[in-house]
Amino acid sequence: MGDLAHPKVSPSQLGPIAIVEDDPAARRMMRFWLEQAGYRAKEYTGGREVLEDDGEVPAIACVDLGLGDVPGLKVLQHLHARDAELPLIVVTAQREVETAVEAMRAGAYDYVTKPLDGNRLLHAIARASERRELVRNVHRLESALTERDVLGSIIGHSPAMRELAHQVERVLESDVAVCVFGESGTGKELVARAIHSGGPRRRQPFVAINCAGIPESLQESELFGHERGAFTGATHMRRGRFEQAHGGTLLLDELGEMSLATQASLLRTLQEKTIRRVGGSADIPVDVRIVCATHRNLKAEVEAGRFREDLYFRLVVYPIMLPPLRDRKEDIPLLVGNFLQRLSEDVGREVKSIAPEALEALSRHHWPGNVRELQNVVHRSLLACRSETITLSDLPPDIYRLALPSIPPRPAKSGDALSVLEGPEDEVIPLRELERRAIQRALRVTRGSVSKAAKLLGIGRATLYRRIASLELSQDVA
Amino acid sequence: MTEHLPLAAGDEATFARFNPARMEEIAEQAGSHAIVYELVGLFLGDVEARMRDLAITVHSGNDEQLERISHSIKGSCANLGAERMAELARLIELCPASGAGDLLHAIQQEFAALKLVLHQTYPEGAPSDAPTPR
Repeated sequence: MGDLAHPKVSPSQLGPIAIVEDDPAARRMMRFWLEQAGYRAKEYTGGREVLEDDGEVPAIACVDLGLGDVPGLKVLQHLHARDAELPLIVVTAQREVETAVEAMRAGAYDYVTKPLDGNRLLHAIARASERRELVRNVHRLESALTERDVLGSIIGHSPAMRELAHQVERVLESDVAVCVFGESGTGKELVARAIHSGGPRRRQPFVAINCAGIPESLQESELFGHERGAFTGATHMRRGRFEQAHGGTLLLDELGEMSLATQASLLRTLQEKTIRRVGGSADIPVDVRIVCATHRNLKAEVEAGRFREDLYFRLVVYPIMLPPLRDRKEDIPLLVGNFLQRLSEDVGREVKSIAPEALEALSRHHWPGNVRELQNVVHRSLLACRSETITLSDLPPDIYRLALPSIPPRPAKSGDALSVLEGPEDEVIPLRELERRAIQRALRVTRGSVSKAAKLLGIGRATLYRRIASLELSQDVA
Repeated sequence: MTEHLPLAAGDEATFARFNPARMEEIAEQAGSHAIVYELVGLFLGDVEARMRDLAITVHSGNDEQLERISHSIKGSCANLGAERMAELARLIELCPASGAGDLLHAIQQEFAALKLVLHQTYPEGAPSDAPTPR
C-alpha cells in the first residue's frame, strides 16, 4: 500500500469509518483494506441502517450510491445534515460520472469507482482524514478566538473574576448543570456563552430564552414547540428552544420567573431527555446542555413554594456567583478599555483613552446596573467626546458630579469665588453667589463650553447664557 | 440457446469468466487466503439471491427494478473478477424487461459456470491458510 500505510493523520486516532454498502463482499473487502491500514470500520448493510442510527457520527463515510433500499444521495444528505464537516466518499460504478458529480454537489468530498481498488480507497481516506483534521484545527482556532473574546469581556483582574474564570474552566468539558447567579447586568449570559463556546458543543447552537419575557401561557410552547392547530393561532408547526438547541446549549435566563406548570414539564424533559411539542403526541429525543441564570435567590424561592425543590437540585448542581461591579471596582479600568476599543468602532470615532479624573469618577459610582450600566455610560461618553480622550465633561452629569469633591480646592483667597462652593459651617452664602460659583466652576471644567456646562448644571443652554449675562460673568474662564 | 448469447466470440475472450488477479492480490496483502475464501462465499450467497430477484423482475416487467438489480450484480461481479458475468449484467441494465429474456438465460448459464469455477478454485471447507487450488 506504499506511503498510504503512513498517512499524515494516524488511523488509530481517527474515529470509525462508515462503510455503507449492500454488497457483502465489497463491504468485507473495504473493511479488510481499512483494517489492514489501521483504521476502524463500521459496516452498514444499507441506507436505512444509516438513517436509523443516531449513535456516534463516523469520522469518514464511504457510501455506495447504488444502494437497494434507500437512494445513496439521500444517505449522503442525511450524513451531511448530521455533520456538515464529515468527509463523504462516494463509491460508484464506472461510467456513472454524472451521478458522481451530483454526489459531489450534495456534499461528497471524493469518489472511488468499482471495481474497488485498495490503494485508491486508502488514498481517498487519507486525504479525507487530513482535510477533516485541517477543518478541525480551523474550528479549534476559531473557538479559541471566540472563547478569548467572550471571556475577555467578562473577566477582570480582580480575585473574584479570576476565581470565576477557574470555575468556568472546570465545567467546560462536562455537561454538569450550571446555574449562574448575579444581579441584573453582571454578565450572566456572557458566562453561559463562555461555557458553551469553550466546551465540546461549541460547533452546535447556543440558544437563550428569557423566562421573564414570556407570558406564562406561552412558556411551554416557547420551550417545547407546538404542533399545527395546537391552539388558536398555531397555524404552523413550530420547533421550541429545546429542539433548536439540539446538540448544543440552552440558556434558561431568569429561571426564577418560570411558572410552576412549566417547571413540571421542564423537569420531565430533563428526566426523560425527550420533549413533546404542545398538541403533539410524539416524544422527540433532545440532547441539550442546560445552563440557567437568575438574579433571584432560588433557595428562598423553593422555601416560599414558588420553585420546585426537585428541579432546583437538578439544575443547581454547580452554582456560579457573579459579583456585582461595585464589589470589583478594580476591574473598571480594564472594562472601560475593553468597551472603548469595541464601541469606538460603533460610533466611528477613535477614542483611545480616558482621563484619570474621569476614571476616578467612574470608580465612585455605585453601579446598580453593573457592567451593562458601565457599558452604556462609556457609550454615551464616546458620543459626547470630541477628542481622543474621554474627559470628565464627557461623562453623564450624574457620574460627573461624583468627581467634584475630588477636584483639589485652590488656595482660598479673597475674591476667588472658585476656591470653595461651601464656606465654614456658620457662613451663609447668598444663593446668587452660590449660583455664580457653580456656573464659574462648570465653565472652567468645560473650558468655556456653554453647551457642556449647561449639561453639567442640568439647565438649558439658553438659560445658562441668560444667567451668565445676569451675573455679569465672563464665558472665558478656562 | 447458444446462438442467442449476447456476447460475441471475441467478447468471450475479452471478458474472462473469472480473473483471479484481484483475489490473489488481496491474499498477498493479507498474507493468507482466508479472506479470499470468505469473499467468495459472501459473493456466491449474495449473487445467488440477486439472481433469483432478477428472474422474477424480468418476468414481472419492472424496468426500474431490473436496472437496479442488474446494476448491483454488475458491481459485485466486477469486484470479484467475474468479468463475463459483469458484462452480461451491464447489457441487462441497458435493456427493457420485455426484451431481457435471452440475456436472463445467458446470465443464468454464466452464473452456473462461474459457480463451478469458483468451487473448483476455492473448494468449500478448505483450511483458511491453504494456498489457492489451481
